[in-house]
Amino acid sequence: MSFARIVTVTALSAAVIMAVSTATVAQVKPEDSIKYRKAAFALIGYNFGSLGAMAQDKKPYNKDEAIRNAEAVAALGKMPLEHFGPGTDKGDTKAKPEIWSQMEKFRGLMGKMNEQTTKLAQVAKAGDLAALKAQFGETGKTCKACHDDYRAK
Amino acid sequence: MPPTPEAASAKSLRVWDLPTRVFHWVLLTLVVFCVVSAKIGGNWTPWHMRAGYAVLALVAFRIVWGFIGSDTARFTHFVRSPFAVFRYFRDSWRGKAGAEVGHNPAGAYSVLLLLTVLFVQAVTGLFIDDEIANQGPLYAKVSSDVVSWATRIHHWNEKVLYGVVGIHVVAILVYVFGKRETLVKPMLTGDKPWPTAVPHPALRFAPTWLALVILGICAAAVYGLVVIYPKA
Repeated sequence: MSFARIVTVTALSAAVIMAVSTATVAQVKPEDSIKYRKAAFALIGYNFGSLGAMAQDKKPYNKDEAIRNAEAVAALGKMPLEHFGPGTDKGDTKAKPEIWSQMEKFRGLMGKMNEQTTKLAQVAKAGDLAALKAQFGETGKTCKACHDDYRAK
Repeated sequence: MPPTPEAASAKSLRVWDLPTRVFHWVLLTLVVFCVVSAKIGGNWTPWHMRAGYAVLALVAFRIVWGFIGSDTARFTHFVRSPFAVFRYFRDSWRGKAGAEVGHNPAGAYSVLLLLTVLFVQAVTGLFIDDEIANQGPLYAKVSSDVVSWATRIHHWNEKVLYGVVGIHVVAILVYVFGKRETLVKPMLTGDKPWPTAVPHPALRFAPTWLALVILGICAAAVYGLVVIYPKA
């Protein structure tokens, strides 16, 4: 294969990949975004609830399970924000319109939540239940911060 | 029930029995704690819930005490018609309202309102989900529709509670600055100043042990509801 051909093929491939990926992004409809973020929150809820049960002595503490839950919460916690784009304020959602009128504040609160969930995953790995309980509480407060102001009841 | 006269000097009159007074101040403490712990969230939320169970037991006690307790605590003794409330406001405005024994006609409705609002708050709390990590003890016993309905009522009723407590506090201030009378002291000591010229009304007071028995039953019932029944 000549050099010119390699350049041509590479350029074409890049163009195709870009076109495809742009098309994919453009095809995320508002209702898809709502679906994704709700799915992320549902899984966060499941994993955080499991940690809560351990933190509140409602089920026995299991280090491996706690790590799995906390890592899931940390990873999933980064997903919803990008799905609060324009047009996703209407539909099957409890998200309040204030999210979009106060997007900077909302982003800030999401960022704080991500900081705490990252820390939660680290604490879970350390395996100290008392520290996990404390960090669980701090993380819960950052969930509540948005639920109080940006989530319809 | 035999009358249990409580000692009072000629210049003062025993109006509130010990159980009613203790109920009042413990309830106040618990409600303040519930509001603060709800605002903080995090690991305070389980304590918010426990304090809520205590509120439920206390409100249940007060309802029973309102039927079989001392005269001034009984609903039949202090709840009067809305016309009586109107007359009370009119006479107070003209400075002609006489000395009150127990709740005045307006205060009576305030008591009913406060008990109702707190009862609704405590009961809805049993079913709700904060969608973070805490569910009320009866969450799993009801459908998701009931959960979301109870959750909405709990948050909406919180605002109603602030309103009702606000009215209660404003009324106390009106008494202090308008009528030159403190309602707080009688609720602490049980006695209120009484004009020597006016004969003491005959009031029956129920014994404290009866209040303890009722409270014990109410607490046991709430314990059964929030601890035993959910596991059944």
